[in-house]
Amino acid sequence: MRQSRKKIAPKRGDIFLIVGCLLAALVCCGLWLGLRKDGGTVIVEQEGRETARYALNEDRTVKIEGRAGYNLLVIRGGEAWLSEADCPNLLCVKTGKIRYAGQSIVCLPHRLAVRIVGGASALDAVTGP
Amino acid sequence: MKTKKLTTLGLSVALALILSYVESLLPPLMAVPGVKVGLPNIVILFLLYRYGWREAAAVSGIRLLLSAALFTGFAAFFYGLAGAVLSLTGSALLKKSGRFSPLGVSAAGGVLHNLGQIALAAFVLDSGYIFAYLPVLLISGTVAGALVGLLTGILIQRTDVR
Repeated sequence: MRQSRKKIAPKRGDIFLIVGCLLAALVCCGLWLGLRKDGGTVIVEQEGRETARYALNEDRTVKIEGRAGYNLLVIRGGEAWLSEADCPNLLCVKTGKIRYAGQSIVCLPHRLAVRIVGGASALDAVTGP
Repeated sequence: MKTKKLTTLGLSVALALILSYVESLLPPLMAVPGVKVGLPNIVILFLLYRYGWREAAAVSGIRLLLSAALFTGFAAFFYGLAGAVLSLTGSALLKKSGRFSPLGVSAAGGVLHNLGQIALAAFVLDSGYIFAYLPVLLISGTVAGALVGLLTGILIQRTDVR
């Protein structure tokens, strides 16, 4: 009994592990906040393959149909989101709106990913001297 | 003795399975897939301490298979497996080092679990962009793992009859 209590009592190593994990999260978070850029293009990927590409600054609503079901993609005011789907958990709808390059909405049941990439609008190519 | 162990492991599978069912009834905590407490891991971690990694791995694998067949489906099995393999390997090694209590072992296990799942998701969806979820999953893995570790620590202490 005594021996086992010693074995399971919290140790100093625990603090290093937990603080280390949280620090790693903080570093990732900082990198993300520091490096994020406004997106230019919305890319739709189904089953790992790109199936469509839309400009983020053009408002539209698209019904994305796949083998497993559908998702309704809305692009409005520089943001993109999935407003409706027939997947079981609706995590994609709950993910909410995305606007920065690198952000994505994933619907695992439908093997669908909607992601934003930056600076792909045609105007970016002509900026600069 | 052998019969007792067999019975304990059988009951552990049932308990872990029920816990995964209970967890599937809870509403998702956040809009990110993979953020959950991982209640069945209490059983797995307990077995890791009481018997060893082989027993923990066996029960974990059977639990995943049954829970996928009953509740979550085929795809969830592979995500669960990716998480479990990484998490259990890491936890077993950390435990073996003798420098950490169940609290730390489990916190690291939770993080590794999420890393395994996100790595598989990145591979399946063929998109590295899913790693934008990383900060959220690192924090949720640490917190959930620490919680599981705390509970398991109490459990190990209270059930030590030898």
